[in-house]
Amino acid sequence: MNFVSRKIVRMFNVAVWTYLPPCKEMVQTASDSLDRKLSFRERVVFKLHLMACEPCVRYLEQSKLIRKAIEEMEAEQIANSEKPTLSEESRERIKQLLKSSMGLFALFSIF
Amino acid sequence: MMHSEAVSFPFTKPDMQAEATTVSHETAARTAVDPAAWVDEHGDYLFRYAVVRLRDEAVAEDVVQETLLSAIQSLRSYSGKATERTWLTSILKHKIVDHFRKSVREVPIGEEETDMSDLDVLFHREDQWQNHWANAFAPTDWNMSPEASLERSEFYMVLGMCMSKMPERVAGVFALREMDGLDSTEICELLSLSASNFWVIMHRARMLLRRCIELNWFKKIQ
Repeated sequence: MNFVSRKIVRMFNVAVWTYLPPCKEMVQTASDSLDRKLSFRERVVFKLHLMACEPCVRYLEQSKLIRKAIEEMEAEQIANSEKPTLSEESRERIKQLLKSSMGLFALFSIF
Repeated sequence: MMHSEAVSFPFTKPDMQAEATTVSHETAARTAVDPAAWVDEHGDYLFRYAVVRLRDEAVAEDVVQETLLSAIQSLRSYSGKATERTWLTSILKHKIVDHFRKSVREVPIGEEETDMSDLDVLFHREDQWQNHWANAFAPTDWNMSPEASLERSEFYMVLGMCMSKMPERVAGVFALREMDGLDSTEICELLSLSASNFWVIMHRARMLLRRCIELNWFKKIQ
């Protein structure tokens, strides 16, 4: 029985690999699926391919993981890390610039 | 500047908005604004953000300066609802997008960025499954445990390194999407990019990034 079901799975996989677009095209679809809604046809083909292709499943999962990691990195890493920092000179320069343009701005808003 | 001495800091909003009747006075009165303090409180944060996005410390510094200057000019529109940092970050994001748009206007994104032929090797097979993943390059199981925080911060490091190794303009488009959260229509309009080129560039970025992470992190810990 087990042998028979394995045989059926194998036949399904071979059919998908043979008659549907190859991985090279499916990874483009995987990327697209993260940025837009796939058409019905694209969705069906993609789902069938994923049923038969472990590497493409991983590819999709890892692409999602990267997206999530970038989001977290933005919040965590940038807020909590120590480096890089503005140099003391640039800090002072920007402050001076802000003060003078603030003064200028205040002057203009009086008139 | 002659007049800077005459102005005392912190500068309060009501003075500037004496004539602006639309702003409620209770909220305005509570908000004392000191732009020089922005530099100490948020300067490094904005700078790091800009460095990640622009990958050049000198350019990042200019953009931070520009951000703070234009913040002064738009103080009137700051409602005080968002935190100061969120407000400044949103201005910074605009400045970064502006910067990127200018650089793309100089040399439009074209064939170099959309050429996928360097990735052909990943799908090169000798058997009948040509154009399926080559065995040596098929994505491996990353076996990631997201709870481990040490692992996570190391992952961020590799991710950051890999993002900085991507071709600059590919990384730029990718970041507009993934970091600034613009959608495809906005990005295509901003960079005068065709939709099909946009999909290819995003795909290319993900392929390069994933491959780089796999090589530099997951292979290392095995």
